[in-house]
This record gives sequence, structure tokens and C-alpha cells, in this order.
Amino acid sequence: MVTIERDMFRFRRRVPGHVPDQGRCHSLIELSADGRFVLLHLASVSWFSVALSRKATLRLLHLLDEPEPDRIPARRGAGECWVVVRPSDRAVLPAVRRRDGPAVELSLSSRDREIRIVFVDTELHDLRRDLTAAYLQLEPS
Amino acid sequence: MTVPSLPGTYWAYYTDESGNRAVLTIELANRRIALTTSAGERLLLSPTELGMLQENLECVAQNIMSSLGRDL
Repeated sequence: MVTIERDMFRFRRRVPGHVPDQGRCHSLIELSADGRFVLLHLASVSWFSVALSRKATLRLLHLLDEPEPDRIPARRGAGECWVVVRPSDRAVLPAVRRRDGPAVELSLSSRDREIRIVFVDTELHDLRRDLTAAYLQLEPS
Repeated sequence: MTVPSLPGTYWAYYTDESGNRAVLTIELANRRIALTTSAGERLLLSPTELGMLQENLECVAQNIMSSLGRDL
């Protein structure tokens, strides 16, 4: 089994977001110990932790601006999965946030579990900023 | 494919104490300049503090250049 080691001290960011119909949460962005992967811990839940290659991270940064849904490949444990990126349906947001700026949803399905996280306005800005910093710090491939 | 730009946000590189290449995020936050280290430490500088930092960095840079000149 191939596992990717974390390095919690080299790079670490906490990005706020919303789990539809549940409330606020924080997701973590870290780098792998070898500096080759961005580790995205959606809602800070290990079950929903994925490793993104340099290429997938750059693709994710571009998809945050795209009007159509798309997906990026990711590694989860020893297997592979897809992270889906789509403009968010505003109805799933708390009423006070529905008029805010752009909103993007990241979702991940894993066997019988699924998580959707919506990043709105300043949260989306924070996600872009912190993902970009993580990408720039990845080791060149 | 290049990295999408993020208005008002800039990045610079430095070396951390373990010798790793690290990224410094530079942005404006509530009328202060925010410098965020790779490990997530956030330094907030007022315009005056930023001016003092710039002056002192220039002094250090001049010292380094003069010592390099002496060594040549």
C-alpha cells in the first residue's frame, strides 16, 4: 500500500467553508513530506483527505473560475478518486450568504460517503490564495 | 498552463530554517500589509512599519554588497 506522509510544519492553512444544510467547517491544506503533493483535508475529516499532484492542483485552481462542472484526479489512501468542482447552487447556502460573491462547490464521494463543501466570496478568495501558495511551494516535477 | 492571478496578492520565495524552499504570501489586509509564512504565521505591518522594514532591508543589502566588494 502506498501512503503519502504529511508534513504538518512545512505548510499549513485552514480555509473556512460551508457544508450544505449543516453549517460552517474548516478544511486543511498541507504539503506531503516529499513536497510532491498538496494534501486537501475536506472539512478536516481524514476520510475525505486527498492528495493532489502538481498538475491536478493547477487544474483545480483554473476550475475555480469555470462556469461548467468538471473533475480532477486525486489520490486517496492507496487508491484514486475524483474531486468534483462546480459553481454552487446558492439555495444550499445560509440565507445571509446567498447574495454574496461567487460560490464554488468541491465534492468527493467515497464508497457510501459523500461530502460537499461550498466556498463563498472571501472563503473562495482564501481557498484560491492558499492553494496557489501551496502549488508554488511544490517541488518541480 | 500558468497560475491564475489573484488581484492584490503576491508571492515571494525564501528558505526556511530546515533549508526548504518556502513561499511568502504578500497581500493587503485591513489597511495593513500581511506577510504569511509557509507555516501559516501571519505578520501584519502598518505603512510606517513597512517603511522601516524596507529601509532596514536596504541597509542590510548594502552591507552585504560592500562585504562582497571587499572579498573580491
